Amino acid sequence: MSLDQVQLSACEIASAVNEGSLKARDIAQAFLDRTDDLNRELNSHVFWDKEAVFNEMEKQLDYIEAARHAHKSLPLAGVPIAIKDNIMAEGHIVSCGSRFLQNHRAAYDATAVRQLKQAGAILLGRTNMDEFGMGSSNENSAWGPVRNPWNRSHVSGGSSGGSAAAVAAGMAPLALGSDTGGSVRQPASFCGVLGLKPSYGAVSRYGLVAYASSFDQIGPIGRTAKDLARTFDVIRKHDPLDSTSVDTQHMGSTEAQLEKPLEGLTIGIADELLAEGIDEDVRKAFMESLEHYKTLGVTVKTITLPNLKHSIPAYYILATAEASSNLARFDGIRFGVRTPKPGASLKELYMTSRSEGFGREVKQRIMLGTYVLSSGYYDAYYAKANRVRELIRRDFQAAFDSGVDMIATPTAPTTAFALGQKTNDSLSMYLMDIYTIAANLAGIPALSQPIGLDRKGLPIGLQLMGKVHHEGELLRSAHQYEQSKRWSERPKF
Amino acid sequence: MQIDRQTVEKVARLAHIHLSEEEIEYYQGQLGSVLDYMQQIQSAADQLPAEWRADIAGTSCPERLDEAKPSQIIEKVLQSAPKVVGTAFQVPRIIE
Amino acid sequence: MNSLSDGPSGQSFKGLLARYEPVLGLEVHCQLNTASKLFCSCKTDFGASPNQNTCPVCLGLPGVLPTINHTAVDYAIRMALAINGQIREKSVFARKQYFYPDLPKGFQLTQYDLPYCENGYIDLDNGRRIRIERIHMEEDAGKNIHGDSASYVDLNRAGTPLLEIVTAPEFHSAEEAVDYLRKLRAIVRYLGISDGNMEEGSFRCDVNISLRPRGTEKLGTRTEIKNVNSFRNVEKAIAYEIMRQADMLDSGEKIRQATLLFDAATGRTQEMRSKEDAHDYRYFPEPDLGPLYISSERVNETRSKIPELPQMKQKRFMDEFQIPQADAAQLTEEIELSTYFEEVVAKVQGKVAPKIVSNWINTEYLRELNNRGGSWAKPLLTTDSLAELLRFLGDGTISGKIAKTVFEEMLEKNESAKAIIEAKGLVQISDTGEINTVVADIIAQFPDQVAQHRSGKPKVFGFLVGQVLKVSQGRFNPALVNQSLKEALDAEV
Repeated sequence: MSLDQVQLSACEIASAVNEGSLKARDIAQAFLDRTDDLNRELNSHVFWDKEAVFNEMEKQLDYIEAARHAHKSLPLAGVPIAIKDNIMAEGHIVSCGSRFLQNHRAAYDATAVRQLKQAGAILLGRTNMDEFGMGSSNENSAWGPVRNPWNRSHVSGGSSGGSAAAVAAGMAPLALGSDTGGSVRQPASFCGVLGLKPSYGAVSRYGLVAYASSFDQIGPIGRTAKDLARTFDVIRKHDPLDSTSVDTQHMGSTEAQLEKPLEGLTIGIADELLAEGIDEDVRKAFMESLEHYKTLGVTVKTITLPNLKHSIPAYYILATAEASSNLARFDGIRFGVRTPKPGASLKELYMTSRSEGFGREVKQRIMLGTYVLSSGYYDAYYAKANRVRELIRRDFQAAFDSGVDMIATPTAPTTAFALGQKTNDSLSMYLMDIYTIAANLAGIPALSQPIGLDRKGLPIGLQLMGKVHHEGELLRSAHQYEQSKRWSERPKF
Repeated sequence: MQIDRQTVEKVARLAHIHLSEEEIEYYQGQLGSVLDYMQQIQSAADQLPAEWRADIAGTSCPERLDEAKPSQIIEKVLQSAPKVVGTAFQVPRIIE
Repeated sequence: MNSLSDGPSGQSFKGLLARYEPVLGLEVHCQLNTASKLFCSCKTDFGASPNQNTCPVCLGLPGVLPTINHTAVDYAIRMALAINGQIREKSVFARKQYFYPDLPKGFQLTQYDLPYCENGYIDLDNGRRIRIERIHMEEDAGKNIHGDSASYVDLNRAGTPLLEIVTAPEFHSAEEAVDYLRKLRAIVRYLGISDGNMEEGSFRCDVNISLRPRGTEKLGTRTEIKNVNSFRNVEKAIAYEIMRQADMLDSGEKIRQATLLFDAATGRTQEMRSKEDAHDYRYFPEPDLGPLYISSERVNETRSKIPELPQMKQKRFMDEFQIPQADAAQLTEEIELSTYFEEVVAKVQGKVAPKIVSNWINTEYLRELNNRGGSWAKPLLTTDSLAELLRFLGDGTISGKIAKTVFEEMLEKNESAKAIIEAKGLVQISDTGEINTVVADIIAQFPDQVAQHRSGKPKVFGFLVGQVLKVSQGRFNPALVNQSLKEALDAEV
C-alpha cells in the first residue's frame, strides 16, 4: 500500500484527504517510513528523527481532521512537505547545513511555513543543503553531501539538494527549497523533478535565513507542475514582515490557469547562451523539448541577451557582498555554537566561533564579499556589478518587450556530475550556475522541468524564465508539456 | 589577479575569521582566480547614465504602523543561547 | 582641574583665546519617543529587565527582516522642517558593519551617503547662524553591561530610532555650543518627538574640537569628545579640551586625531583605547529595504502639524507681551512652561500686566518648582489658581509681599488664594483714615528721622514707610502709605 501512496501527487493526496478517502495519518506514515529507509542511502535529510517528526505532526493532524469535519477544503490537506534546512519552523533545529547552528532551535515560523501549515500541509523532515545555500552540488554541507537518487556516486545539485533528492526519491511529494542563484532549479534538474523560483518578492523571505537578500526566494520543488502551482499559490501571500514582499493576488491563481491553451505564447532562445560549455546530450534534449513545445502551439523565436555573459561575476560580487554582511550576526553570542575556551577574550570568541563554525566555502564567500565592499574596491566591484545587474534586467525587459513571453535555456550546462569532481575548483563550480543566475539578478520567475535523460541515465532539465509575476505562464507551459509528454521515469531503488 | 597574503589576512581580520596557515594559502589561490574572473565585468558596455545608482532605482519601501507588540520570544532564545546570566547574554569582559 | 579659568599649564583661558580660535562641531543623537522600535514592533522603554523588549528582529536572529516605522519617519520630517532643512525624496538606509556585542546583526542600519535631510540651520542668540549639514535616521545599539569577570548584553535599547543631527564646524565657543544644544533640545521637545533627556541618554552629544591660530583659515586637527551627558559637562569638556590642545600647540606638539571621553568627576578628557584595526565599515545599501520615499505631499502635510517653535514663540512673547528677551527665552525653553504662562496671562483678564505674570513664573514659581524637584509637565498649581492669586494682586486686594506668602501657603495647604486670604485676614487695607492714624503715630515715634528727612536725606522716607507697613503686618496698601506719609511730612513743615 505505502508504495502506491508515495507515488501520489500532492493534489491527489489533498483531494483524498479532503474527501476522507485517505487518512492524513496513513499518508504521513507511508512517507515517514520511506524517508527513514532512503535517507540512509541519500543523506537527503538532516537531524532526521522519525519519532520527533511523528510526534510533532499530531497537532496538525487534528487541525486537518477538524477542517474535514467542518467541510472546509484545505489546499494541501495532509500533504507531507520536506523543508530545506534554512527555513524556520518553530521548535526545529534549523542548522542551514552548518556546524555553527547545530544546536539552533528555531524560535518562530517562517511566513511560508505558517502558510503551509494553514493550508493543511504536514512538515516532514528537514532537508540537507549546501551550508547557508552556498554551493551548487550539496557537497558544502557540514552534514555530508546528498547523493543523487539516479546515481549515488553523483551529486544531487545544490544548494537545495536534499529537497530535490527527497522529492525525486518519493520521500515527500513536495519540498520547499530556496533559490539565490539557481538553488531550487539546478538540483531539481539534476534530480529529475520540477522546481520553481518565484519572482523576487512573490514569496515572503521572513524566516528564510538570508544568504543574499536581494536574490533569495523560497520556491517549491515537486513532481508535477500542478503541485508546484498549488504550493506556490499557498505561499505567495503579501507579508508585512518582509518589506520586499509584493502583493500579487491580482495575478490570480496560477493553478486555475493551467489548462489555458498555449497557443499564442512565444518562447525566446538566445544563441549566445548555447554556444559553448554545454553538454551535447543536454543540447539535444533542449532542442527536442522546444520542438515539443511547438507542437503545443508555442512559437520559438531567437532573441539576444548581450549582457548575460556577465551574470556570473556580477552575481558572485553582489551575492558574496550581501552574504558577508548577512553572516556577521553569526557571532556566538545569542545563538549557535560558541567555542568554549575558558578565559578567551571577546575577539577570540568571535574569531574561533566563526572559524570553527563556518565551512570552507562559506568562509571563502564571506571573504570575497568583505573584499569587494572594503575601502577602495567598492566602486570597481560592488557598484559596477549593480550596474551590470541593471543592464541584464534591461536585456530581459527588451526581450519581453519584443513579444517574447518566456525565455528558455537548459537549466544547467551538464547533468549531475560525480561527487568530488569540482570540490577544489571554486570557479568551475561557479560556472555551473551560468543559466540560472540571470533570473535571480533580474528578479524574474524561472522554472526547471525534467525533459529527459542523458546517455548515463541522468536527468536533464529545461529552464523557462518569465516576466516578473507571470509564474502562471511558466507553470501552465510545464503542465501542458508534462500532460502531453508524460515524464514517467523514476529513479530505481 | 594575484592576491597577496596580507590581503587575505586583512580581509579575514575584517570578517573576524581566523585562518590557519594552510587556509591562507588555499584562499590566496581561490580568491585570486575568482577575482580574476570577476574583472571581466569591467568590460561590460555600460550605457547607464553616470548618476544611475541601484539604491534609489527602486520605487519606495512600505512603512509599518507604530504599534508596540510584545513578542515573548526571549525565553525560547535564552534557552538555546550559548551563555546566559539572568536574562542577559554573557560575553567575555569587554575591555574598552 | 579645579577651575575653568586656567589650563593644565596654568595659563589664562582668556589669554589663550586671544591667540587661538576654537572651531567646534556638534553631533547630537536624539532618541525618538515612538511607541515601537525603528525596524520592529518592540516597545521602546528600557526600564524592563535585560532583553525583555526584544523580538527575533532586534535580537538579530537568523531569518528576520527589518520594516520601517512610519511614525519615526514622520518625526524625522518634523525635525527637518523645524531646522529648515532640505528633505531628500529618496534616501537610503545602509549597513554600517562592525562587530560588537551590543550590535546584534553585526551592522547598524543608518543613512550614509544619502541622508533624508541636509542643509538646515539654527540661529543663536548672538545672531550667528549655525549650519546643520545633515540629519539622518539610524537605529540605536543595545547596551553592554560590564561586570568584574564578564560583560553582559542587554538588547532592550537595540533598534530604538535615533536622529543624528550634525552641524558644520562653525561654533567658536562653549557658550555658542550650549546655546545651540538648548535650542535644539527645546525644538525636539516642542515637536513632541523626543524627551530630550541628556542624563538618561535620549539626547547625546559628541563634540568635535580643533584650534587654529587667530586670523588663519585652515582647520586644525580635531579631536572628538563622545557622549557628553549634560549642558554643564559640554561646557566643561570643551573648555578643558581647548586648553589641552592650546597647551600642546604652544609646546610645539602635534594634535593627534582621537576619540575622547569626558570624565565628569575629574573634569578631564581621556583618549579611548584605539581599535587595532582602522575602521572599514564597508557601508552598502540595505537590500532588505527599498529607498525611503518622502513625498512632497507628506512633507506639506507634516508641515501643517508643526507647532509654533521656541524661537518664534520667544519673539512673539517679546512683541505681544512686552517682556525682555531673557525672560521670554526662559519662558519658552519648555513648551509646557510657555503654555502655562499664556494660560495664566489669559486668565488674569488684564488685571495684571504680562510682565508681572512672567516675573512670577520665572522667579517664584520656578524657585518653588526647583525646591520641590517638580517638572514642567506637572504644574504645582493649576493656571486657574495662580491666575486667581495674581488677580488679587492686580486689583489691590493684597500686596506683592502678601501675595508671596499666600503663594507659599497655597502650595503647602493646597487651598485657594481666596480661602487663605480670607482665613488669615490678609486683605490689603486701603482705608486712608486707618493709615493716616498709624502714619501720625510713626512720625511722633521717630522725631530724629523726621528731622533728617527734612534736612534732605531721601533714604529715611523708605525707613518710615517700612515702619508704617510693619505695624500693619504688610496689609496697608503701600501706595496709599506712601501718599499719606508724604502728605503728613509736608504738612509738618
